[in-house]
Amino acid sequence: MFEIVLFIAVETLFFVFIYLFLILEKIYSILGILGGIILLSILINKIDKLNSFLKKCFSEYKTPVILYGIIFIIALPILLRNYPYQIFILFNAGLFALLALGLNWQIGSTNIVNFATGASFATGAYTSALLAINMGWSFWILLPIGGLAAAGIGFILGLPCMKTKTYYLSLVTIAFTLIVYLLLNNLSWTGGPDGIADIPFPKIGNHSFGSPIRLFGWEIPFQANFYYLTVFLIALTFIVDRRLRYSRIGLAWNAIRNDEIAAECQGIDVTYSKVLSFSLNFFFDGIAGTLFAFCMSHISPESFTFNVSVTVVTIVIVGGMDNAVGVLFGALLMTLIPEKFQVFQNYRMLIFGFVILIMLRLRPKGLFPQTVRKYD
Amino acid sequence: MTQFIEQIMFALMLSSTYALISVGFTLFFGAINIVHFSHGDVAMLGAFSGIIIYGLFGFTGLIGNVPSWLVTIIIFLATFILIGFLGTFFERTVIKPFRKSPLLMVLVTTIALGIVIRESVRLFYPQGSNPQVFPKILPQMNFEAGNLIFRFDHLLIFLISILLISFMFLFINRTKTGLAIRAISQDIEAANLMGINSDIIIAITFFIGSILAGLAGILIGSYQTVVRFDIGLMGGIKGFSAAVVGGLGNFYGAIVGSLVLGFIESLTSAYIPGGAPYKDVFAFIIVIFFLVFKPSGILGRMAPIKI
Amino acid sequence: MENDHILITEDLTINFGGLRAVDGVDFYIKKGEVVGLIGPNGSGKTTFFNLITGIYKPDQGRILFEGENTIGEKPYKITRRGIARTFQNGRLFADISALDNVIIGMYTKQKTNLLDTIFRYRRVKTELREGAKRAMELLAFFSKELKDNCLKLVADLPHTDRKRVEICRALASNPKLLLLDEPTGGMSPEETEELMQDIRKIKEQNKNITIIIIEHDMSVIERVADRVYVFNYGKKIADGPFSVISKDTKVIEAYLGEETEDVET
Repeated sequence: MFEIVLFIAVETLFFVFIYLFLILEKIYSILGILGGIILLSILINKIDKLNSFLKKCFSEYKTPVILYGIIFIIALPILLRNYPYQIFILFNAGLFALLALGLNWQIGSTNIVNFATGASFATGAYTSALLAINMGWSFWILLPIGGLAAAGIGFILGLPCMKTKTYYLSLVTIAFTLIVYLLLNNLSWTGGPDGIADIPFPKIGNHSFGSPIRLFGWEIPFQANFYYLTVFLIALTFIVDRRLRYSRIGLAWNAIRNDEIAAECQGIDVTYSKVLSFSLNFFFDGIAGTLFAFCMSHISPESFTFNVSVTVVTIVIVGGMDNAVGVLFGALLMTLIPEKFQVFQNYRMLIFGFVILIMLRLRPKGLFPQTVRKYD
Repeated sequence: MTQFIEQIMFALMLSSTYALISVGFTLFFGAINIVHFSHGDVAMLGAFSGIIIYGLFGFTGLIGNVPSWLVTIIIFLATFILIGFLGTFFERTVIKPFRKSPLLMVLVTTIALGIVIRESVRLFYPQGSNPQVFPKILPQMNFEAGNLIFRFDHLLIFLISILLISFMFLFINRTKTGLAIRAISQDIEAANLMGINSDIIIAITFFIGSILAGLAGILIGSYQTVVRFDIGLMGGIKGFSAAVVGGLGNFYGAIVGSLVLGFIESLTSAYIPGGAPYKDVFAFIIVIFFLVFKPSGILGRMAPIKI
Repeated sequence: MENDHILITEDLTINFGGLRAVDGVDFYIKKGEVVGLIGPNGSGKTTFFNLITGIYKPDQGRILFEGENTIGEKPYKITRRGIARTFQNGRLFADISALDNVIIGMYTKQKTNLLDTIFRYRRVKTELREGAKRAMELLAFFSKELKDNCLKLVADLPHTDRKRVEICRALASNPKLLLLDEPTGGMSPEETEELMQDIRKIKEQNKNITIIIIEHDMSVIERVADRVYVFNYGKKIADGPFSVISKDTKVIEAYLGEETEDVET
């Protein structure tokens, strides 16, 4: 009894830290909280007694612990109802998490370093935006359609490249991203550098995503609508990730990652597996793109540059290769921290560059490397 | 007709500047089997160093007192040395530690390095995110032959590039160090066993490649007259494309590829209506085509630097 | 062409830039046989395996598996016909567990697809569970220790265990034809003896399994193989029972100058 109370206390402490981190404005307070979180994490890591105790609690009381976490995630927008921008940056972090979870299937599981996330993200966004404005289709249909459009592009991009060595494949993805960006910037029907504007907000029944949620007398800013949808999609993606991992598809990917020839000799159709990883990754990127377009209501090529691809690759490398939790953590880290340190926004890409160099040198498998599959 | 010939001259000049960069890519790939993604950014640094040195002349008031041809030569020499060392420095600090790592990791590393270089210039050079004017350090005259008007500085750029490439070619094929470089690109283990210090040779390879890139930066700055902190990304990709199209690792391939790319780029922007903004797209589509269908390029298999 | 010849090659030839790695090889093996393949280093034995499994495409000749020509088929299709192999230098999937490696060996016998994985996951779960169970049985067949350590990353296993895991992986698909490429490479005499007993046990348990084994250790060949082929410079220079070919002058010549294995060991 005492154990679970202590664990809940520690969990609550983390939640409080996160909440404060999000709402505090002054640099020093933010640094203080960040320091607190890091300190707590290091303590837990280093003090073995604490470490094993928490691990034991987690495995014994998995359900209430996770339930508590879910309650916190759901309650967060309510707690942040006076801070709409904070809800927005959480939504943004969620988008990057979606992008990164998909990319993880390529970089982490199959060792295909795909730099085309900017392009697939754009495909979803532009496809749904154009269809919404020109054909008036509803967001809910466009969500999977954006995904399918991007998946189609992934299929087309993946197919001819399958004879290509993985190394060259990366270069092809880079060239592809740049081509897409140039096309978006120059073609008239994509709106050129101005992009597409006036994308309508989605609706559920009478409730528009553009209006705040009224609950128990609270007024929660409209960004929460997108936040909840994103959280839901992330949960779905997690389930898909777990299922892929514990299936012959995920095993085939890992085989390919290690030794393509040996994988073929196990009867694995390597081309099919690789194309599958492209298509699945791009599908979720497309969905994220649609979400993005409908939340911002205006999209332009500037949001779909090579730098976006680099950011997502960084998240996977830093968070953990072939580890969904690690990737999620990496996404939060790489989006929330730059947001809070606004003064560093300008230095964001520079810092990312250094982070990649340092991580690859010191911890190439990421902060949370992959775990071993257990079959009980 | 005259316009066509002038376009050809322009294309030749363009190709020659690309060749300076793509030869570097091919050298590095041949020597240590990596695609040095930030090589283009090293060229950008060359352009910026040209601007800085010229600015120094102006700053110290020497600009009126020193004959302009001397200024030009000093800029060339200084960039030569500066970028050569800078490029080697990058190799020592960033690329060398990853020598035993999987190739994909090295690729990502060089991409990250490129970002660091680009962003550093953007952030730390005054007004870095804006286009910078490149000083006119080459003689700005035209000369005529019949109906044709040639720009002297374009001609000069072309000649200088060819000269540099020829020097490098001679160096690689006629000197002992060049022989060592070729040995390493064939089989680095064997070269080591033969007493070649592959570490130093690699450093020298990077030095040479970076010199060429740095000078390419100056030459490109000269004809474009305006440079930005991100020209290295595009320029690098084009230089790499040229190397792939011609055949990675094959010295002649770099030249052939640069010609192909340079001509396609200038002719499409000149003769295809509305084509100018898409010239880069053509270049990238071509490189994708080659990477997928003919990765050995026009001249053939990833051969070591051939004679 | 007889019905119980599970694999036949006719005039099989492949050139690598002027070097004839495999030169006009005629070969056959009957269902249930164990055939040894010996010869000095570089005589084309592994290349022969690579040709059979489709990694290389021959310049000349035919390969007939169960009567059907397999030339030009991609390796994964050939594997699905029921051929499994190990590699001379070991090609395991190093950064995942030994158990996962063996489960991957069952790939050709598993049936679930993408739709199953996302929407009908229960089938996938069952399939994997059963696969894991069977994989552990296979590992336990070699040693209890191996089974206990099955969750260790292959990269962390000792050399001999890795060889065993590779054989388990090959056996996992219940192959009709098993190709073993120097399975005792790097093993001590005791470990070699153990492995030989294991190969015998495998044969006893699967009467129908056909095995081609490349080996340098003549004692293994002598005790395990029904027939032996001898390669030299890509050509087949002798074939027959071990007692006959071991006295063949051509064979002895081929090994002269090589570190000849003491036949008595």
